[in-house]
Amino acid sequence: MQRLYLLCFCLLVLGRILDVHGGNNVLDCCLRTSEKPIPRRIVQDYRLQLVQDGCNIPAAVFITTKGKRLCAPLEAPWVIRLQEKLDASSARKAKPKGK
Amino acid sequence: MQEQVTPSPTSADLITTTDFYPWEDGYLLEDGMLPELCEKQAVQDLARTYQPTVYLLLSLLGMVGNGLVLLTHIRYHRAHSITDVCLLHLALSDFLLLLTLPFAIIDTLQGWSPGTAACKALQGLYALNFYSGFLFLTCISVDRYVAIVRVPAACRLRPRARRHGWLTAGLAWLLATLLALPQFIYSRAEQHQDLHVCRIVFPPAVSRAARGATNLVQVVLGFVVPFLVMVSCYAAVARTLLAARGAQPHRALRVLLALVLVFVALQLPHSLMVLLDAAELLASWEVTCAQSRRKDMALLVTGGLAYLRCCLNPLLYAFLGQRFRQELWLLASDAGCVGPLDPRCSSCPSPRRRASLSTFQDMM
Repeated sequence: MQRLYLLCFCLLVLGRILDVHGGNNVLDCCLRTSEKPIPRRIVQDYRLQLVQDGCNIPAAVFITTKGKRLCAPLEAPWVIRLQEKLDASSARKAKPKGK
Repeated sequence: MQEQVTPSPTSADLITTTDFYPWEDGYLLEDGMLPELCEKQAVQDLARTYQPTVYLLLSLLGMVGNGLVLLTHIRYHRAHSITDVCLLHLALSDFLLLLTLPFAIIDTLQGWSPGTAACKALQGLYALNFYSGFLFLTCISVDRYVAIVRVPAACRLRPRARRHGWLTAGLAWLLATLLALPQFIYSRAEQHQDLHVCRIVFPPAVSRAARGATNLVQVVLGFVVPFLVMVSCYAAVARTLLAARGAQPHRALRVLLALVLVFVALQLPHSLMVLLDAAELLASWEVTCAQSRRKDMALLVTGGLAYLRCCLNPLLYAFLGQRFRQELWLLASDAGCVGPLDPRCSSCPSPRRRASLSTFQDMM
């Protein structure tokens, strides 16, 4: 059984070897995330990092007022709330611009 | 330091109420506790200089080499054996693969602007020729094995060898097309980090299991089988050649050794790097940003090496053969570059007593 598992693992790995690297794009990715909440005050924007974009893990990337990009777990409740707040404030900012 | 903050009323408050955070921005960020995005500007810069230079050089060199193989085959029309036909198609496959490299350079330098259809063509052609190259190398090794180790069978098959050769090549192309189908179907140009890139995006509907199965089939048919067949065939050929003592087998053995060594030397580094990459993904190893940068750098450099194999195929498989060198000379003299054919060479394909060795010399 263990051999079978090993075989499957090897085949999967070989699958990655044959994975087509057409453009060979090197991407800026979050490699790990932390559960420690990030204060709203220092965050100005965010974007999402998805696995299908070519990064190994999904993450929320918060951009601080100083331009640093911090990695947070995508599904954590505090992350979702922070995203909602940022969405709301960006919508508020967008409105007067439109008028 | 963050522990000081925890005595806030509730955890929900902690999240939403920023007033509870006593730190200054600078303090928090210098803390180093919060993971930052791993920026790879240095690697991207290297990619922008290394990739275009190496890819352009390789595609030029390789297209000249493989183009010459194609030209001599077309002009002198001398494909009598399965190996001949496979060499012709290997050259075609390598030529097409190298043709995709300039487009990969454009993708690296300025993103992918030609759109999804062109992206499908690029990725599909790349995969198609990647797999067909492996398959043709396999067919060549099997044909050499039959010609040298199974001499009676080779003699029996000889009259129909040409037809068999084309049939084999057709099957190899068909199989390679099937293996490349995912690239043809799922490649597309899409926006990523304010840059259009051309790559494979599996839709969420294609489950992980289906993707795994596709990978498995692709690997078994496109890599494991060809590789094992190649190694076992050449081992048998080497045994037979060693048993037949004399000066000629040693030259042939050296060529065999070169074939395998070049394959391993050029393909293994990249394979190992991708293996590391895959292990990191599958086992969810935690790597530091510096390690990740080094890994990307190594992937980039070894990827160039893997392309070098396509350029060396004509050298290893065709240029080492006496007949090809003769045809090349003929081509040059036809084009008026050199004098008439060297009289010494016309005596080269003299009839040999040993059928197996002459066949082998022919192929090498």
